[in-house]
Amino acid sequence: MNKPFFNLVALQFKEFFREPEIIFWAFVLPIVLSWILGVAIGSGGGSRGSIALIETADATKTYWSSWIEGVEGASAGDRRIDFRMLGREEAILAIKKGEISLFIEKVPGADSVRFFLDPRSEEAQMTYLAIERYLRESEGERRADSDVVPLNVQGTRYVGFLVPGLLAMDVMSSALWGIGWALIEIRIKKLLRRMAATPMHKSMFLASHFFTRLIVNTIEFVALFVFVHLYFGVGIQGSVGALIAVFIAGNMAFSGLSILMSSRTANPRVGNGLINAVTFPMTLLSGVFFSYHHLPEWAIPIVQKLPLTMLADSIRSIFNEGAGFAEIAVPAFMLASMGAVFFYAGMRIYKWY
Amino acid sequence: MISARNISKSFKDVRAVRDVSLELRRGQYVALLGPNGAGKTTLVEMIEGIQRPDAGEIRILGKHWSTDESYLRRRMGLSLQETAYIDKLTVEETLNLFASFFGLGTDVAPRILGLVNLADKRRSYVMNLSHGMRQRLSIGIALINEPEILILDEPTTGLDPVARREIWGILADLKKRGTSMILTTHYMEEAEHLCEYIVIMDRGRVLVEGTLEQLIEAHMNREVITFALREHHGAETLSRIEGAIDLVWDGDENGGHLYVKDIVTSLPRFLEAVERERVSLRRLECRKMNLDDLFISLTGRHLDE
Repeated sequence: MNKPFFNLVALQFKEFFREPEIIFWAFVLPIVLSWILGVAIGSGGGSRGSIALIETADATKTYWSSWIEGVEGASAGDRRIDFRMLGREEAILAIKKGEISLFIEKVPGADSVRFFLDPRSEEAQMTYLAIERYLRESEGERRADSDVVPLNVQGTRYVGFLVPGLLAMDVMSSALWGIGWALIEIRIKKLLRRMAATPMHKSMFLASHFFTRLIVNTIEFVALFVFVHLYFGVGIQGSVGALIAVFIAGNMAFSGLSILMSSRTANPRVGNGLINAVTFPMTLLSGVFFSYHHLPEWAIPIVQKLPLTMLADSIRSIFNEGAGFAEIAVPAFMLASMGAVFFYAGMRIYKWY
Repeated sequence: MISARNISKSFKDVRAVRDVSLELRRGQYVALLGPNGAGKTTLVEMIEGIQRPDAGEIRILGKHWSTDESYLRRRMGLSLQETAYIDKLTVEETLNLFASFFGLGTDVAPRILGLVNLADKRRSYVMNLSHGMRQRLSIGIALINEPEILILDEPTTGLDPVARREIWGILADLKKRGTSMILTTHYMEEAEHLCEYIVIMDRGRVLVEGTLEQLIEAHMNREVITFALREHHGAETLSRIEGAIDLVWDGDENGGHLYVKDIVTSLPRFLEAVERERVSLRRLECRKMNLDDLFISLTGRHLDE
């Protein structure tokens, strides 16, 4: 058996495993990154100063409005706090999505409030302390501290927010460097034109890169997941089938993008710049490390259309909110469609010689 | 087998190939000889279907690239310039990869390894091969599909004389098997040694072409006195001797190439002129005209410039 598709896939694996450093960068680095961010930094997360006030029969809008006036000073200068009224379930969901950093509930039958926050989130702690100071000022020194309820539900911790983002980012960078850069390198070495000057099917050649990367990304994904599962106890609350579907769709999107990006470039510096120009803004904006909900309102709908945002949000909703096929169908379809369009456009303008 | 007629190709403001025609007959080896920038690679890449000509027509085995690409790809063997194969793939794996593109099995590689003398390197990574071995691998890849036409673009450039002769031996063996080949080179010995038809190109044009005998008959039926002087002296008087045909002066060398009909007659006259002009010689060399001399006489430059 000497099939070209098999050979092309095999050659990429051989290149991969015959270069031990690549294994470090591909598998070990994401794990180390998740460990550093999840444990060593371990804080942050959530949106800066966005908090929810839980609306109940006992704590109406009017109650909260006068309460907010009492702590107005906490929301001054650099530390602006956005208050929003939510139901309890909505608040938990918002904290999982990173839209808020903590929420406050009125203690039934008493004139005091209770804070719900991730004790390891520095941002939540700072917001809590700022509010608490103003409550004390308005109510006097004899006031007892408010109750703080630590949130330990999966997804309310920073690591629960971080891991799905890291998994999505891994798919993106693995595809862009593993396919995009690899194809640019083959062109620079003038090997691409040599291969193209044979009866090799060009679409099969590109498909072999997608297929190889899908396998590599799956291994990377599983390795990182196993680590965070064992170390941080992160689990998948939603549908594994939906996770597989959105993972494949994400791979399609970024593989297509990689092929489009590599379609003309024969200069390593241009190739490097192109890949960085795509990955860097998405890594910053797409809510991998911190929620994008603190961005200006006009920017949020745009950021939500970025492939990395769609993938990270979908994985996050499956991990933390128990989402299934219905919830991720639209983003998965969008990602797969993006991949198809990028692939088609790339093939149309591909410079083989 | 190949008929290229009135081919032209330009890149931005550079006219790389200007109205060139070329024929290759079955079993023939044709050399495209010329310095860097002569247009050899552009011409063969158009024949290889890698570039499209701006004007002219190329027919290979009676077919065109625009309509019969797959047919032609299966019948041609190419070795392109400067191809870097995958470093961490072995020689055998590389051959198997290319064999699979032609729908061929793993039984092809051992035959090719034998043909290009790389059998003992079959398990070596490409990165561990010498330059000469990589060139042989490149030729091996060109031979995978038992091509009817072989096109090799500067297969021996940068190789030491031993490695170059090894490749000449391989190509000479292939000729005995009836392979047809176009070879680009800027080594006149390579063209003389391997090819019965030589096309000399410069600046996108064909300067002269023919069999080696035809070229000798038409352009090289002369001898050359190559000299360099110690003193700066106008060379005109030295060239005004009996039997002198042409002088190509090289200012950097402070010398020149004097083309004469017969060296036996002209050399004593030349030495007399040197004495008469009270100059002294730093270098003197007499020989029959070769392809490099022909190129110098046509362009004033060396082939390997």
